Order: sequence, then C-alpha cells, then structure tokens
Amino acid sequence: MKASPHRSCERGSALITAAVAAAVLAIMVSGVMSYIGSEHVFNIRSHRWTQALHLAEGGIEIGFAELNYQVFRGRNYPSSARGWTSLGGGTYTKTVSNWVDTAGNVVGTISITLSGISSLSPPPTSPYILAVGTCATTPRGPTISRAVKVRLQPSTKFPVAMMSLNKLDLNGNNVYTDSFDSSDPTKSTNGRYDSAKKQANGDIASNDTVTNSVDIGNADIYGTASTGPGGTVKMGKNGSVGPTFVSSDRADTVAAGVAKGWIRNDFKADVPAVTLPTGLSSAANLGNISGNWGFYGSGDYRASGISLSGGDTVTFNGNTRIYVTGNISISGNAKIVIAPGCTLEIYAAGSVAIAGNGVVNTGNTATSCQFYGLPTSTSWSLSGNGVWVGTVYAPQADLSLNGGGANGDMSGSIVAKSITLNGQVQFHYDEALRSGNLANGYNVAQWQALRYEGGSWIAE
Amino acid sequence: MTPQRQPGSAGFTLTEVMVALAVGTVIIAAVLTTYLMSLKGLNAVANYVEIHADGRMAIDWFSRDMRAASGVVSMPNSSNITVSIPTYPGTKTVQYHMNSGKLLRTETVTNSVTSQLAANIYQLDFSLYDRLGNFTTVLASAKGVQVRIRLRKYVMSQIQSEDFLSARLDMRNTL
Repeated sequence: MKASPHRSCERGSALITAAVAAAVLAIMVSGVMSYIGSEHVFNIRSHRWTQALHLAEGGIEIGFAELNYQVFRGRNYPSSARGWTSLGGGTYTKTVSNWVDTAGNVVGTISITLSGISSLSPPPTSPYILAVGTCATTPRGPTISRAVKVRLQPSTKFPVAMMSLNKLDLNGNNVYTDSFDSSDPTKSTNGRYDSAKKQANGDIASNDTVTNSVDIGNADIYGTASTGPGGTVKMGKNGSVGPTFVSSDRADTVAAGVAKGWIRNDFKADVPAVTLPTGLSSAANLGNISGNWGFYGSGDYRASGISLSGGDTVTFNGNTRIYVTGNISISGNAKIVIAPGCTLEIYAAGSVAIAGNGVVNTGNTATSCQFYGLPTSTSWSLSGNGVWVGTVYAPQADLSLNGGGANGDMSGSIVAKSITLNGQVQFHYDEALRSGNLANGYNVAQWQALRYEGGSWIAE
Repeated sequence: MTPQRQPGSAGFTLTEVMVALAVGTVIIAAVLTTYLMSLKGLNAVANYVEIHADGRMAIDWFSRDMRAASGVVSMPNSSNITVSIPTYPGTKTVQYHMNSGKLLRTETVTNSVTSQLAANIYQLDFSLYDRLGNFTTVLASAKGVQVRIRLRKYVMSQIQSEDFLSARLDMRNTL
C-alpha cells in the first residue's frame, strides 16, 4: 500500500508544533527556575547580611564582658587566658572562630578589638570595642562581614540624685531636687552648687516594681522620676516634675508627667553590694573614735565605732579610709571635718546616724566624702545643721533624710534600699558623679555600624 | 452529464469542516488562554520582584538609620517619623515619610536631601515601643521603632501583586 504524501506533511507539522511548544515551555520553566534560584541566593545573602551584624554585636558583648570582668574582679588587663592578645598601645584582640548556634551549626567568625586600655586602675574613661562578624561561607554566595564600633563610658554608682531599691518617699515641706556639675564652671562655682547656675537633672528613681514605688508628695523634682517595670509614681497636689525650670512647662500631675516622658516605669540599675576594699579588714585598729581627733596624712584604719557628741570634732587632713565595724553616731554640735584637698571614705558595718553639725566637707566636691554601707548596715539617718556634700551608697539600708539647718541643703547623690525624706531637704545632684572613679562597670556611649571601604572600616 | 469525483481529490463534508473548526477553535482558545495566563503570571512575578526589591531596600535603609538613632524627634502621624542620629561629632536628622504612594527619606545635616526608597506604597505605619517592649506614643520613652510597609502594584485597577514587610529595631544610641 502506498502512503499518502498529504499524511506525511501532517506528521511533520505536529513534530514542529510539539517542538515549538516544548521550547516555549522550557523557556518559561527556566525563567521561573531562574527567578526561584535568584530569590534563594537573595534570601541567603539577606540572611547572612543580618547574621553578620548579630555576630558583630555578639562580639561587642564579649568585649563588654571582659572589661566589666576587669572592673569588678581585679582590674588586670584583658587576659591571655581568655584568648586576648596585646597589640601594644592599649589595644587587645581576640578571635572567636567557628561560632556555633544552639543546633551546633557553624554561623561564622567574630573578631574583637579592644582599644584605649592604657590603664585599668583607674578604669579607662573612653575605651572602645570594634567587633567584626563574618558569616561562614555557604554555597552560592560570597562571605559577608559587618562591623560595629562601640565607645564605652564608665557606668556610675550614682546615675541619679536619689535612687532606692525599694520605696522612695519624699515627705516634708519645701523639698526639691535639682542638679549642678562640679566639674563645669558654667554649672557650678568653685565646684559647689550655685543656684544661679542650677540644672534640671535632679532625677530620682526606684528599682521597685510596685504601686507607688516613688511618692513625690508635694516635692518639686527638677528632673525625671522613674520606677522599675510595673511600678507607679504618686504625686501630691502641690508636687511637680520635669527637667525644666519653666513653671508652665512642668507636669503637675502624674498623667502629665507620663505623657511627657518625665515619669517612666522602665528604670533598671545594677546595685551591687559593697565589698570591703582589700587591706581594710587588717588595717590599724583605732578602737572607738570619740572626742577630738586629727588624722594627718593618708592611710587606712579600722574603728569599732564613731561616737561624737557635744563639741567633738574629728578632722581629716589626708586621704583616709576607715572601716567602722560598729555604729556611727554624730550628735550635739559634733562634726567631722574634711580639710580642703583631702578625701574620706567610710565603710560602715553598723547603723549610721549623722546629726549635729554633720560632715563639713570644706571646699571639696562630693567625691571627697564617700560613705558606704556594708551589707550588715541597715539603718541610716542624715540630718543636722551642716551642708552635706558627699555620696552615700548603702544598698541594704533604710535611709531617712531629716532636713535641718542650712535649709536642709544637700549635694551629691544617695543610693539606699529605701529613702524617706522628712522635713526640709533641697537636694542637688552632682552630675560629675556620672563619670570619674566611681565606676560600676561600663555603659554604651556611642554605637556605630561600619562598612568596609578602601581597605578599612568606616561609618555607614 | 453526471460529474465524476476525481480519485485523490476528495473534499471534506460540511460536517467535517465544522467539527475541525470547532476543535481548532477550542485548541487555539486553550493555547491563547494558557499563553495569556502565563504572561499575566510572569508579569505578576516581575512586578512582585520589583516591589519586593523596593521594600527590602527601604527596610534595609530604615534598619540602618534606626539602629544608629539616638531618639525620635517628631512623629506627626503614623506614616511620618523623624529621628536624630549622632554623627560623631554632630547630629543629623532623618525623616521617613510618604508622598503620593512613594516612600521618601530626607536626610538633614545642614541642607536637606530627599531620596525615594520605594514606589507603589499602599500602606506605611510606624509605631514606637519603650524599653520594656510596650507600645508607646511618648517620644521620650521610645526605644524601639517598628515599620510596616504594604506595597501593591495594580494592572487595570486590579491588585496584581502585593508584598508586606515589617521590622522592629532598637535605637542603639538611645541610652
């Protein structure tokens, strides 16, 4: 049988049609596959981009931990035992290779550089950490590195005018808080509070998380009032709050203070217990200090107590540290005098009641008069006729400020378990306490993301 | 004289032609529909790629700025926010705002420079969160800033492609 030529032609057309259709489909499928592939690479790259930043921030935490470790545990240089290598000039590096996640997968490598560590005693004032996070190479994409640079500043034990772990209660009349800066002549006179140069940073805060953690009463807080998470602030009808001296701008209700961000409940501060400095527990024992005393030259001492009454005067003419194992009591017209240019640090294990003419910190700033309450010191009372210029750090003590003469004028900062004001108190926070030698670890002062360009890391 | 059909030149009956036309029409319609659907799908994918890339770039810029920010300067409405960014030394402000479906970024040091980050913006929302992660409207309490961007592309008034991106960033320099 002879095949028809017409039928042969039809078969050829079907083949061509099928081939064209297949080609079109192949192009479409390849397009879709290409898109999916590109999205896959894009997602991996995006994931790595984010991951590299997280690694870098992890490196910042490692640097932070090392510096804080040094501050709290002995003030040595970054330790080679923990992988730090000195590059000289106060610079140290550490590399953490093959950082793994909780599932055991390698995420990447972190390279950390600590700089500005010329000395750790006193702690460096502005060290910085540079951390580079590099993501592990995976198929289909380049390795990605990102960097973060953080400049640090010493965290202070005294971040606000008055800080309590529990309740902060401002009773009394004519109570207010404001601030000055003893290190800035435009904000102080001869390092002392000057009402003509006053500042509105007299913040108060409580770490507590309960209702009415802070009771402003009828006080005027020229600054902010804060509590821990969940805590609330109570304010009387004559009270006010706000970092301004312009009366019309201030908040005279809690609601107004919250609306302006001057009353907040997100405060959290680390308040470590006081530890006795090395050497004080075995220092020369003076017994009970009473009557008239004069300390000439610098030195460390122990005392079983301080009991001053009548016209007793104890004068310090050097840089003195005293560990008082018993109670401290100043009454009548008695006083402690710190001579100009001298310092006094008292570590109290018992109760403290300072009245009379109090502590006369002649011509000095608050850092010259430091009172510390050891964990066994639970009851403190400050009153009297003198002008108080100093710091109190007694995190286990219930402390009352009872005002008194000289208009109840007090400068410096106070940290205690609870603080209660009775009577007339004008408290001036010394902003210079935010820095200096009273370090309590480090805070971030500046945070910068960097990009790699021209062979070095520069700000994004 | 009766006409004779020549061998090999047989024609189609009307029924055959009608059936062939019907089958052909169905096949052509099916092919055309498939083609148009594919074309529409590819177009939708292309549009999605475009708005997704725009959205990602916007989120990336936003993330970079928010991480470096030290505080919220103003937020007159939920689609307009200005933050301050320390530049060591100095400070600059960066504003994110929407105009005619476009997401704009205005950076001000001494002079203002505005750049377009994305088009086809259907919805833009900023919201603030405090240190505890709670929503807040108080600028001074803000630590975190969240952005939600919804991008849409239309073809003949129909929503053809839509993308939704969101991110919440902590302002690292809000101390």
